[in-house]
Amino acid sequence: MTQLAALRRAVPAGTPGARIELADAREIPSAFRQFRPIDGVLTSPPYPGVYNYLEFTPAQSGLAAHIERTSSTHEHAISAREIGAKADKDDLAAERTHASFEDLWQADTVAWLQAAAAVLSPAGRIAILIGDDSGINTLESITNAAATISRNASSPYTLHVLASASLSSQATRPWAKQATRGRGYRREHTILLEKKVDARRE
Amino acid sequence: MCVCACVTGAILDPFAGAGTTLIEAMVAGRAALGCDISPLTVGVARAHCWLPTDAALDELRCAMVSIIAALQSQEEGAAEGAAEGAPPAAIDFSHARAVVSATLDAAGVSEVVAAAAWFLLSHEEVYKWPDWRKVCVPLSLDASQACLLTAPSGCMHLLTAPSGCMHLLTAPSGCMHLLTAPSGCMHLLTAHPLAILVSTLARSSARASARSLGRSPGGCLEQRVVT
Repeated sequence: MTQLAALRRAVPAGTPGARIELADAREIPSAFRQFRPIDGVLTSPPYPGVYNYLEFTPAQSGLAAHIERTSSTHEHAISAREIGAKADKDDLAAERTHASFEDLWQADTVAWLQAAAAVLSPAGRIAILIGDDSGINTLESITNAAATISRNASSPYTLHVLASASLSSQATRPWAKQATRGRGYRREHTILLEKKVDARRE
Repeated sequence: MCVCACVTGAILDPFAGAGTTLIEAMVAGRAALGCDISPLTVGVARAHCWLPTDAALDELRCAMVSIIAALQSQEEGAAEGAAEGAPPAAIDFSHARAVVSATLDAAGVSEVVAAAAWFLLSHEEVYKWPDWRKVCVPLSLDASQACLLTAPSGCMHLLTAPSGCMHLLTAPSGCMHLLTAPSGCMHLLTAHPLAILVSTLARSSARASARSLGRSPGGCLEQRVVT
């Protein structure tokens, strides 16, 4: 409680409280539009095929149950299929279907990036922190997703990569090697995008 | 050129996790918007980002006292019904959760206070309480799962230094080490020139990752400024 009070002191007077919804990033709650202008998106999406995020929510968690119980009015159903889930990668590999995990990942990347860009102000920026896995170069996937969105003739805006920084870190300790599934390293990217409204398309 | 483009609008994190980005946005005086598909994480983020009034904090204290008393009463009732010398009965977790729900309903607390109470029941500080076992059970099957929720650095660390909580929820990938490094990603929102920013980010990220992966900096580092 002391820390709660400290946070309250650190936040400038008049700053509204955060609005946090139980919702899928591919379906940004339309209620957020009332808070426009939204000038920045700063996020770290799931890494491809690294883990199953929703498994971190134990079914018996009282906190999770409480949020679900009190979030019944959220506008969009939560997709049963989370983005980049390891389970999807494993299932698709086992089924040997035509649909590849890479295709699924790219479609989801376009979907969430488009949803974020849609609510963003003109000239708003999107900063993304993401790491590679499952044979996927996520800098390429974000760059390609931005290009896909920009090529959409019906879209009144385009997305451009302004800058990126990438690094590879190596692990020497067993637990860290385990976290990268034995490879012992991970390549991660910070990517900055900008939305530009195309007057010709309006 | 600055990353924030000198704007003052809202900041959105569509993968909000435990709310680090949103906290920093609020501290920067911005409206903070977040969403997440995990109800657990939404609860944690809401608790982290809560800006309570004094009255709300009093309400929360009273609610917690009532909850602990109710749980103690439940366990004492179970003990009285047991045969003398019998081993302690297994805790009925679903009943314990129901006790918490009923206590909060009876107290008539506001929604945000109820969410904060559930969150506090999962907080590692619970372990320091004499009756932590009783308080943990509404959330978890056993102490190790409560630990999963709060260890190793503890969610509330986020409120004092944005370098704690996300380690937990993103542990397998370690991705948030970068975002929550002391000089990490939130600096994107400040007015640093882009070139300096990218350089600073990359260096601090390298340090943060090296630290998290148990190795001194020295990994491969690339930077690219497009504009």
